[in-house]
Amino acid sequence: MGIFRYTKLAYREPDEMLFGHAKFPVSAHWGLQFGAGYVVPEVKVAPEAGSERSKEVMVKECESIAEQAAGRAVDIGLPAFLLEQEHVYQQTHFPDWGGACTRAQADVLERFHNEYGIKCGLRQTVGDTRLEERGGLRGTDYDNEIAESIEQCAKNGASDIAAETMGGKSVLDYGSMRGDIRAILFGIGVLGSIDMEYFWKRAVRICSHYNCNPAGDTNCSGANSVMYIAGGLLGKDFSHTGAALARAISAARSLVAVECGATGPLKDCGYENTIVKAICGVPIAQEGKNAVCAHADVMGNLTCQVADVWSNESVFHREEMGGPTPGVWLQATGYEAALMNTAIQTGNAKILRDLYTLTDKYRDPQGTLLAYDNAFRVAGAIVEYGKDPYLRARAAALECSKVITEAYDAKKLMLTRFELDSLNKYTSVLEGLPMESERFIDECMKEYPKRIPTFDPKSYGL
Amino acid sequence: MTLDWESRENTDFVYRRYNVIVEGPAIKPEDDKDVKKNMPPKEPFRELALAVIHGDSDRAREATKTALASTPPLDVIEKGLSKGMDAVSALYAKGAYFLPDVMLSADAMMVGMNMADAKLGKAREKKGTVVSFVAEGDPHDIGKNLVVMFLRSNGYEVVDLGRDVPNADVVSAVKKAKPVMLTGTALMTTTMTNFHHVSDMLKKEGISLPIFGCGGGAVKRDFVESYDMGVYGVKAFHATKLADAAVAGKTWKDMRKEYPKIVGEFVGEYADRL
Amino acid sequence: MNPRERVLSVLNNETPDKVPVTCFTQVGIVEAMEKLDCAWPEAHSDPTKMVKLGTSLNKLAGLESARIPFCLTVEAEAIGCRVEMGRIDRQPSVRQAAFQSAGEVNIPSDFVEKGRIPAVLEATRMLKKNFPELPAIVGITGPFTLSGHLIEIERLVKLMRLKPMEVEDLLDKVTDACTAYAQEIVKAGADVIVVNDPSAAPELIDPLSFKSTIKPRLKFFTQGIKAKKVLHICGGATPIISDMADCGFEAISVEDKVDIAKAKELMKGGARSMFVAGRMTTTQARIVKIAGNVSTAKTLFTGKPEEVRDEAKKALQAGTDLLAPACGIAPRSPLANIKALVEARG
Repeated sequence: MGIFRYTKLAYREPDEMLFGHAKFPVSAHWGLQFGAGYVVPEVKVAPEAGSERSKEVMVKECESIAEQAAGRAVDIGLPAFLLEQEHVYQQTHFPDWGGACTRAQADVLERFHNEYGIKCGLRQTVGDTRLEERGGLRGTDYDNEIAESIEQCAKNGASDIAAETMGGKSVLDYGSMRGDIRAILFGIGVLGSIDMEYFWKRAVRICSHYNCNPAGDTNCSGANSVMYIAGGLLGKDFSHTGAALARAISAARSLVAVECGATGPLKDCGYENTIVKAICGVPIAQEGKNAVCAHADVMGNLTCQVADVWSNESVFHREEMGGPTPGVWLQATGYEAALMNTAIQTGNAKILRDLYTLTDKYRDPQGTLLAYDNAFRVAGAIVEYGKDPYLRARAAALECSKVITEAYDAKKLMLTRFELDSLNKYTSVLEGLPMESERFIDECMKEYPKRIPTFDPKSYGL
Repeated sequence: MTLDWESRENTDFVYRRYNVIVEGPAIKPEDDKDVKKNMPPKEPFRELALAVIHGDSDRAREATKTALASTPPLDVIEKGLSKGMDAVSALYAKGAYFLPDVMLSADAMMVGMNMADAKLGKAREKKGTVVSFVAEGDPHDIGKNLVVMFLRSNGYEVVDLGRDVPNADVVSAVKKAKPVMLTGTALMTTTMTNFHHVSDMLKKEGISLPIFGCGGGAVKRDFVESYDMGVYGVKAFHATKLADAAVAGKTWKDMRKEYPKIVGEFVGEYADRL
Repeated sequence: MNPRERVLSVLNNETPDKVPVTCFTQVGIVEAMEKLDCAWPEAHSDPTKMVKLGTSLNKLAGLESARIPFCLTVEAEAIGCRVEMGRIDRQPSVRQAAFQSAGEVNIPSDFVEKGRIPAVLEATRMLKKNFPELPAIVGITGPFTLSGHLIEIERLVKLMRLKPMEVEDLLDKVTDACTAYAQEIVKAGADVIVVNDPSAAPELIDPLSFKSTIKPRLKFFTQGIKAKKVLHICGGATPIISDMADCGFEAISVEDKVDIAKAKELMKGGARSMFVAGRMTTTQARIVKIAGNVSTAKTLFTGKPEEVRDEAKKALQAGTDLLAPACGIAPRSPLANIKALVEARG
């Protein structure tokens, strides 16, 4: 059974896109809305190492994270915030752990909501414990546990469910280690999209039984891995232009969750979210300068441009000089959200948005790609081939290449030879790929299964 | 507010791409400063040169077709295509271009040149004749092909004997063509000794050439200077400069002495001759 | 330590009793061929003569190496290239490519039973059996060079710019073939596989293409080979040294154009830390052993024994881990120079 595919953009022009505003806002319990005219700060804290030794300890740990975050939110006067818990292995592997932790955090948030009227949200992000080489991605115990864990979280008070699924990772890893853009396209664009459809149809169905939104899924395992391999400006293991292509491809893949019924806000670490938002108008979470505790990226301001939720990505649960990390980092994202909300309320939002964008637009090729005006162009390329996951991923990469090349030709974006040569090479490879999905998949299936021992075609119905 | 800043002075306060600062920016070949100053400023010559620089044979075909409609074939070659090839030599010399780039540029150049020659109808007047060969027993001809290509694009008639050429064939070709220069290339240490034999055989026949330029993978200057007429060629594109010198009346003895001056650049192998 | 232990101890990252004087590149010289009745071209296809010649410089000069074969045409011939066998002082060479285009290239899985491959394998078994005290070193053609043989090197390098995907696919196929062949050699008992990839030198291929196109194949190759591995690339390899070191070979062999001391510095430059998927990971600099690099085009071939000794001493001072000729030894090189090389370790 096919799913709905986007063939049109949600916005008429890039200028319509703005932080705190989504074409299709989302409401959650405890009074919180996303993309409804204000930006929501988010905090996410990883449970202390060792807390996974028993269920009781883990539940206590999660409860104290919620307590510390909510306490600080009230202390500094935040009108709203989102708490996200990214599951450690046990929280997904033992669904009752996930359920109990969610319940404990939900109780804390509800108490604060009732007492102060503060708008809160609780996002539970399940772990993708499936491995292709461990019986495949579908129907194994691991796979079933994920479904059960989603259900437990939804039932116990999560306001939304997110994930970072790993479909296509075996092929993608092979491609990124070898600079093979075709493998990257196949891994993210084709295999990733296939697995997303499997995963999110089910997740949406489960959430529909509860007062819980299916939020979305980012390509953390894919485009972000490539970005890390590319490293800082001086890294040479993978070019930043190549990383930008992978990012464009990942937008075509992350879109699938929404096509299956996910509503947003899309998860924070998906830098491709700007492109996805241009296509489907759902609210998005983003990370950047206030996620320095987790990532070193080269677009810390730019990612604010059209964010509806502003996140710190992740930090260890520990004590800083300013207090425990849940409070400290919520304070960081809270003040940034306050600035954006002030800009909205004073009519200066578009000016601030453009300032954010400009600071990073030409710092790095990925910034050039994700600047909202360019992201909008890539989104346009995706919907032009919207019905075909392969062709739209390829189109995204080619449009990305065009965007970067134009910025380079205009002498706005400076590139090194390494960056330019690899872009040219990848572009010529992409241009030479077939225009029929089946032929492309055939070509890849001739090569990759025998080269990549961990690749399990059955997991994708191939 | 515009989403694009024109001025680097502004952006420098905001971010710097240190990788670009350290490694230098990837500039388009035509923006290289040494290329820029020799680029023909006017069309159709600029487009002809660009087609060659970018190694784009299709573009060269189009550009030549357009140019020939309004321009004499000789100008198409000398003021357009050849300027492009000069740029390619310069880029190759400074390490911005590599062998694949040069070979693609040569292909583009030949496409244009053949069209111009056909339009010309008669043989173009050449600067002189050069005989080129790869040493007997040696099948590696990339170096020789480069030499031939640079010479041809600079207006020389080249008798290309190919690879693995018996010494006797070299001598008879020289007798027939009476060249200003003979070039020999070899990649293998096992084959370069033939240059010595060729030199001896020419001498025995009473033939004295302005220069017998030798080069290639295994070939060293000491070895080349161990026989008469031998001049060690360091880079393939030096062949044109050496041929020009031969036409201007320099002898192999002069060339050994004045090599860096003749090729117009610092050459490590001839550091003692600066 | 016997020569085998000495060479292998270096490749095992252990300390040898003294620096080995060995050779990872071709060892056939005319003087030895004539003395021991194992002349080219027969020694290229007769296993007995191949073994004799491969061990000749050990027998006559004490070089710590048993190295076969003596050319880079074995695989190309088995896959279908026309090869000219040369003569006593000239190596075989590929005269005609086997295929007209990259797309046509088709390497039958039984190519390891064709041409001179069975002879090389037989000679390897004989080396293993009859010369247990010598390191059995077998050279193969690297994937890029072999690809050049199969479709012509000029066509290959142009294709890299025009249709890179075709080159990628071709290299994958050829790397598989190289791996299959090397695995057979390891099965036959070789201690060391030397990958010779002269066409991958910066003189022909820009360093970025080496990194992005060739290095991944070499990395893939080394993962599949359970023996010691050495990578030899000719010419001015300095710009690609750290990438060569990062391909999974235990040692790299370089020519005299490379300054060994500088190469060692360059290898240290690879370490860095980065934050990957929530964890700080540090990539270690890959520091591998260096073999080389007494000039074969000049010193060993036309120099005097004293000059060989001087240059060998310089290489030792620069820190070479395995004193060796810079490239394949020229067949007309005098035996006296090889002796001088061995004595230089002194």
